[in-house]
Amino acid sequence: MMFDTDEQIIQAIKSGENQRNLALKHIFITLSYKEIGINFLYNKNCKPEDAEEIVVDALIAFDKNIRNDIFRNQSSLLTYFLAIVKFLFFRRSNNQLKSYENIVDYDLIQESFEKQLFNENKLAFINNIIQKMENKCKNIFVLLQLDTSYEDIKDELGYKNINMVKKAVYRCRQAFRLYLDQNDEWQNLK
Amino acid sequence: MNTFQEDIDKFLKGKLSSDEQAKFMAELLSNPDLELEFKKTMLEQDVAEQLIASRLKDEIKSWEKSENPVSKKKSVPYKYIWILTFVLLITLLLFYRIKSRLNKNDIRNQPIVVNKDSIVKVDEFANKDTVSNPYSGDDAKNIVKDGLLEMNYAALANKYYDKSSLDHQFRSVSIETIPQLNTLLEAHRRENYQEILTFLEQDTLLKASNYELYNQFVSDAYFNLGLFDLAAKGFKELAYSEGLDFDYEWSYLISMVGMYAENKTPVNTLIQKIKTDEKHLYHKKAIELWLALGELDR
Repeated sequence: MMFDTDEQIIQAIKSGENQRNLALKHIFITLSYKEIGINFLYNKNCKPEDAEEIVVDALIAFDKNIRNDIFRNQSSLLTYFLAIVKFLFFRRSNNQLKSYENIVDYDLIQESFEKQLFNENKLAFINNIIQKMENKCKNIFVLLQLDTSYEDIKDELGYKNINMVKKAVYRCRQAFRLYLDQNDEWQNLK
Repeated sequence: MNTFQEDIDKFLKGKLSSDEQAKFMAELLSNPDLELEFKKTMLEQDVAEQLIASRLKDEIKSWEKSENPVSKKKSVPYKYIWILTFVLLITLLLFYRIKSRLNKNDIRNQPIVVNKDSIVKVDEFANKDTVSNPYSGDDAKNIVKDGLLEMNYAALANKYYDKSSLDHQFRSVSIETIPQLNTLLEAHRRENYQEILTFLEQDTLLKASNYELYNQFVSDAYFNLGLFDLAAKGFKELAYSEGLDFDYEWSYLISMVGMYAENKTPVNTLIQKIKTDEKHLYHKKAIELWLALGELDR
């Protein structure tokens, strides 16, 4: 599939796992978003190992925000990606965050990021659940979150028919809720 | 599971109508059971996103491995080193002989002449009707003039034919393309941009051997022919395809200036980006451009 425009890339990112991975690889590697992000960070005297980590985290956030319609087409995708890179960089070096707030493209991401960054306790709780989940349920949760149809989940995970998929989804969600009922400290997490 | 799940899923995926949404929100505020299920579903999504993030990290590693496969070091027996050295010497000798032969008629040996006539063209451009060119006033005109001059023959010639940087050029300009480049630069000197486009359409050697240079000629020709949308597309690719190139990013911006009457947002976004980046080579120019455009509504 060709990705000539930002619109085509956005569409692909929202079109299930395979298309999404192709589109993300295209922008990160072929269109050099990674190199551009790293060059920016080097210019800000960021350590090479930190720069590598930041651009990966930025791509993860970028993907999530596009899939969940948090990106509002106020800029090109590259500008948006760089805005995330900048945000994550300045967030690491807290003393610079204040000066960064004066930069225009901070507006592109500020609102969405303040809400979505997990605190340490919540992240620990989430990772704990993930450790206890069956692999089958992990796959199902991922595919559902990527807006994959039941038909595609059937093919992807090798179920015989859609009813089997629905039952599997139901069981995974039940198991998840049972865990929450048995560990109710999640309600105090923010 | 529970009676609310379907509505919660639809709400979170934005698949409820505005009436249904309002009803759902009201119910959410008044029904503690629904609120609890809603929170569980939100947490379920957070878990899914965390899983997706972790898988994407693995995926990125696999991309990087496929882009940079680790090559195994092979030891070279000493007896081959002499053969390799001999082959290398012969290659170098042949290379310099070919190079000196091509240099005889090479445009690099001719003096570089800045084409001042293009200023006249800029004046025409800047004085056009505001539908195609929304700029008026000397400041805006000078900005556009600078932009066009940067893309004229002298700029091209300096970039690719500066003798002092010949060593660098051999990384970007292969010797086989020199006849093509001479033809293109001659056409550029005559400001025959249509000829450049026609030539590059028929002769694909430059495109195959040096896409960046090909793209610069094409984009530059489009710009001078007033096809700003095509020029912008080319310069955008040049600016970002192999890391950020300030010169090309500026050319991209100047090209978009020509499209400004149709769509102001990308121009303003890019000017903002450049003018807020103090390390950008065109940081000051972007501020000037921003001020010059202040005369126009935005």
